Amino acid sequence: MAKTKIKCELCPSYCELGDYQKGSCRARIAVDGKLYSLVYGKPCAANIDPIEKKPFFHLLPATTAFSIATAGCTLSCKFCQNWQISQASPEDTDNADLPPANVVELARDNDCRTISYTYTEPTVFYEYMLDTARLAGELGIKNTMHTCGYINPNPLMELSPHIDAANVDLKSMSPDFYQDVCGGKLKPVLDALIIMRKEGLWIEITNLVLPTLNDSTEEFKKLSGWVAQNLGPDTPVHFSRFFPYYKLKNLPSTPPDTLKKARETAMAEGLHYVYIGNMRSDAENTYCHSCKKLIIERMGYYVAKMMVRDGRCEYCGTSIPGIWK
Amino acid sequence: MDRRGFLGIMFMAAAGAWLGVRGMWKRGAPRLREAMHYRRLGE
Repeated sequence: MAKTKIKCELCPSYCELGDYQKGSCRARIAVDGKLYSLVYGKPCAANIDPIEKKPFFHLLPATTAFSIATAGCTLSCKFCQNWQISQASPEDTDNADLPPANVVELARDNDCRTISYTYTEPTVFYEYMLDTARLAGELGIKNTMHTCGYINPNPLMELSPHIDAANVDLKSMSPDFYQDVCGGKLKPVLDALIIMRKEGLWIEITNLVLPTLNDSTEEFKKLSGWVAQNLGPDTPVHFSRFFPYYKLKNLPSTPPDTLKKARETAMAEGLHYVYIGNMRSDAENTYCHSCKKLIIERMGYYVAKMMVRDGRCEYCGTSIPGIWK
Repeated sequence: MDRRGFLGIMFMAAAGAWLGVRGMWKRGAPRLREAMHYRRLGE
């Protein structure tokens, strides 16, 4: 008798797995008609980071996030900046034994206001993230994730009540780019973003700008216009500088002028908060969209000045979108 | 060494061996958590 095949419905890859086969994410395995997570409670990275590193610029500035990741990813981006762990199998990484209760305990003991599911793609450690987020939420610790948004609607909706904020990598507005460079599809990512907005998550967008691949003005315009229209003009967008890594070492780093152009285009499309990441400039600061004054001054991950009190600009009293307490 | 001393050492050795084997067993045992969001095909 043929063994039962398993269809994983966590992400849009919909892997169909025979006995002892792993999903394309490398983190889930079918055994005897059941699907198992290979990474539950087994992070390959656990650090205390500034929340600005995620990056979240409108969420509890100058606080720390207890950050965890396991091996694996739902995509296979050729430019991945964490490919050593995201494109690795769990048996090839050095993993800690850290069940959800211990993650929450460590976060609390180290005065971290948030737990961040990050570095790799948190969808691959869905069960671990969900259990940890539930526990953390009970203790008043906020939960954030940095995700590519490559997750199906049902698991996302089940997870959403326990997640406060998501920084989503919107890598391009081109379906071909997602297919050729990331090994995935664009539409599920856009659908996930709309679900997150409906579910009330605080969303920030990151776009890694790759020379020649997604750095045209038309592309910036399309991305910014979609964000403004579907997520709202108050959604922060981070244009991030690319450095040659992994399979795209042939490309140069993103020129600073390209990033400045991206920011100008996005602001012309109506976005209020547009940042440039991975590069020191004035565009890492927050300016009140009403009075235009500098309200959060950053130097890399360090917050040098904070003029937001109770979610309002201290100069003009305008409400600044985000999570501030 | 008298009989009681010998039995005491044997007891300690047996307890140590049992704890050691148990520890190795637990450490090496698979601790996989069943995943969510999947279904069986062809049933």
